[in-house]
Amino acid sequence: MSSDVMLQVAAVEKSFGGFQALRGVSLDVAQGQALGLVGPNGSGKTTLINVISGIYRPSAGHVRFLGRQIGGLTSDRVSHLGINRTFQVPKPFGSLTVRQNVDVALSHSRRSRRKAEDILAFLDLAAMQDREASSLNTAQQKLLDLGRALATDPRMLLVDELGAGLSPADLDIVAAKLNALRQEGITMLVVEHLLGFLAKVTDDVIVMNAGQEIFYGKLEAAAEDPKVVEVFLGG
Amino acid sequence: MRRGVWRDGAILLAVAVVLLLLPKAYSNQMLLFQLMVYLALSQGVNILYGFTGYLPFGYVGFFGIGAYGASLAMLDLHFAPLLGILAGAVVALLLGLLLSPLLRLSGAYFAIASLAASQAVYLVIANPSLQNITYGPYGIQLPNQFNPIASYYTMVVVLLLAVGVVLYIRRSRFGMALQAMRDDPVSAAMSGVPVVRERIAAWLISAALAGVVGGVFAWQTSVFYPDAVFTLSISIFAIVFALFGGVGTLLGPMFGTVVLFGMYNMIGISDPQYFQLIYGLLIVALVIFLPDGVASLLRKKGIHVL
Amino acid sequence: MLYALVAGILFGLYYALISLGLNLSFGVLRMVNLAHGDFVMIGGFTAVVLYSSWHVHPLVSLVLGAAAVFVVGIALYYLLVPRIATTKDPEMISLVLFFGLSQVIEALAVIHFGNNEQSIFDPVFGTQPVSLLGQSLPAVWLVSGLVSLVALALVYLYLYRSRLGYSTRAVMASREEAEVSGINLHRVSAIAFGIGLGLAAAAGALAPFMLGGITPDIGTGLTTTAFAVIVLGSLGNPMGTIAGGLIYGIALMLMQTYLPSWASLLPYVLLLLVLLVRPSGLFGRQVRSA
Repeated sequence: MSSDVMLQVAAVEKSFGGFQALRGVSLDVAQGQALGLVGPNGSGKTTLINVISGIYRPSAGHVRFLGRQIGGLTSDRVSHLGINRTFQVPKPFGSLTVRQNVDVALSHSRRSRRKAEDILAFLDLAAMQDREASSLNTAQQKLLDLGRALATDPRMLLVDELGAGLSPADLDIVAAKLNALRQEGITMLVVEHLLGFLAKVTDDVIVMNAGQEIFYGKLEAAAEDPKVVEVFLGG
Repeated sequence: MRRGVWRDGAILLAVAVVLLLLPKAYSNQMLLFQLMVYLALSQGVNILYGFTGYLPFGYVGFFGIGAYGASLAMLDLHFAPLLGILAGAVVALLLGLLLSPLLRLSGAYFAIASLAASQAVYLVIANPSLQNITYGPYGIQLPNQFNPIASYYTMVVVLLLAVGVVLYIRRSRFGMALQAMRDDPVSAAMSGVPVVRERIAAWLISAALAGVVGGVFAWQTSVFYPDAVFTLSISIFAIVFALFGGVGTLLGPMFGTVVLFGMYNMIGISDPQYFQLIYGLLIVALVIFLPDGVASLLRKKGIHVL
Repeated sequence: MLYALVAGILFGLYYALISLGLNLSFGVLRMVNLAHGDFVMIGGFTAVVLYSSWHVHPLVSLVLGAAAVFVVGIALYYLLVPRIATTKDPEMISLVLFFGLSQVIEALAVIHFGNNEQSIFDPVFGTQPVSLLGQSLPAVWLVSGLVSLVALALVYLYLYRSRLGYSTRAVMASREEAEVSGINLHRVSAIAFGIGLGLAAAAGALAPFMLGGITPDIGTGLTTTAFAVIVLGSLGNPMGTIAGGLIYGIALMLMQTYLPSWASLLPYVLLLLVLLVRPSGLFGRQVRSA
């Protein structure tokens, strides 16, 4: 394991009753890298994110963050260590205001040096900071989800289908924000169906199918890999 | 923030003045005492349901065990009343700790499991086989401790404490975390909130509060049967009062308690079955016409309820 | 020991009958009907009154009472449930609503019938004990076991062999998807709610014999017991109720034989144990939150 590996997932398995959602997934994310994660529905991408972020406990295997074993820690502890995430379907605190959504995370973070004003300004949410989060549209809720994650001042962000359901104009805006965060030094693991969006924000991609990794490399090369082609075009 | 502290202080002072002047304006002190019991219990329900979404149908279990803990401490250990009440609160706290795994259950499962727990505690305490310890079905008598004036003012203090706790929760990081958890526990955990610990904290605060109130009730009443302090209607009254006013606010449950408790006492309890009929109908009407409480009506009109 | 087992099975079937309707309406509505036990009480008083006034046989009253309550149930559904379905927290609000309803029913029963226990003392099911597996048992226990089996079979046929039953199961699996696929949610729910209450009333007609007597206040305790039974057998799965009923019946008989003074604790303790140790019941369904 090279010294600049930030997140190491080793032979992680996760099963629910009889169904095995992850069948021994291994991957490394280097410090500063933005790694894409693609695969058909049900291939285990979100399950993997859930395991890393402490929502699920892995059935077998290890997850290490900065050399420290984190598999099985609860989400709040994972968040304190510097990993955070967004959700495929945004999960804001609906009855709290936009500002309070960010404040909850800020006030429970042990390491954050960020300010609510900066986060809301960065995400173009400053003007609606006193509105109830449930009154925002989906795109705004997705940004707020990102804002809640940023408030914990993460070293690493797990981005779960942030692009889904956004208009092309919004997609460009969100891609620019993710790139800006990467410039700040935040490492990223990005799950995404929209390959055009993925190309804008990541260097390399991992392709998963049926709970396993089948490809690692450049996005352009993935399109020519026979195994990947088979999975996506059906075989 | 600073202004908020002054405002909260002013509210506490106002409540204290009203409570201390009430006996001068209205002579039925027993009724006032009961009113305060329900004011405090509905705030206890408010802390749990209003801020975490867990509806404690068996809330009366903590009230009852507090009453018994306090009484037995006075009878068997010869504790002074105030110390006995503290012992009752500790017993309620321990029961809360013992039952804290119930918080892993969601929705109706939690509500009914807590109901079952309260009835189980009741059946153990009222069991004839344990008569040597709990005095069984024949209940408790505390003739030596009887002191209606002192117990009345103790209740005033307890109620002020309950109001203070709710005021604190409303403006603290703790309260904001509870509301965040109620909206979405997964997001809350991801925000760094130790979800399980905070939820248990709210549960224990609420349990201890009911335990203290039960202890003061035992002192004030000084003679009671087990079913008097374990009857489900205590839970239900506290829940309905809180819901009627609107949970998640301070004034909602207080308003709800004053109005509904007042109404119930105007109905009178000379004919228990007619009382039960009317209060059943009131509950149904309330839920159908005002399910989210008076506070929600005001909020729709743009009035923010404290 | 064997006696307790045989009696436990017969009582278990009876408790399954008491509980089945609660499970059916929970499975469909996702609401716990806290007034369920009060409809058992109504069924009981129906049988007692019809017998004492016109000597109607309790089994006839059973059918009449169940049918009448079925209709009442459908009316109650349309009167109450759609209004609270749109609130912030319908699952919790419904608990309070049905508790209120239970108070109304109980109060009306006291006003009408008084607080004294009422029952049917004539030996309508004969005086001869029946022998089963070498154990001599009151005939009415066997009758009640058979009636319960018939009722359970009818519910099974309804759910698995009828069009409406098919829709009902679809709603149980997912209300949202059932609605999207064009099922009339309110119609299916109202009928399931009606059947649930009808079953409670049917069980009530046998209560004078199985539970000893009827008082207006038996409802709350029966509701909790029924809830324990259906949680044992797994909530939302009506057929699991039979297993829950049998376990409960046998446990109850064993408790009454060996630890009589603690028998009343049984439903509560069983309920807590199952919810905490194996919350999915015997068949499984997620009930825990995060």
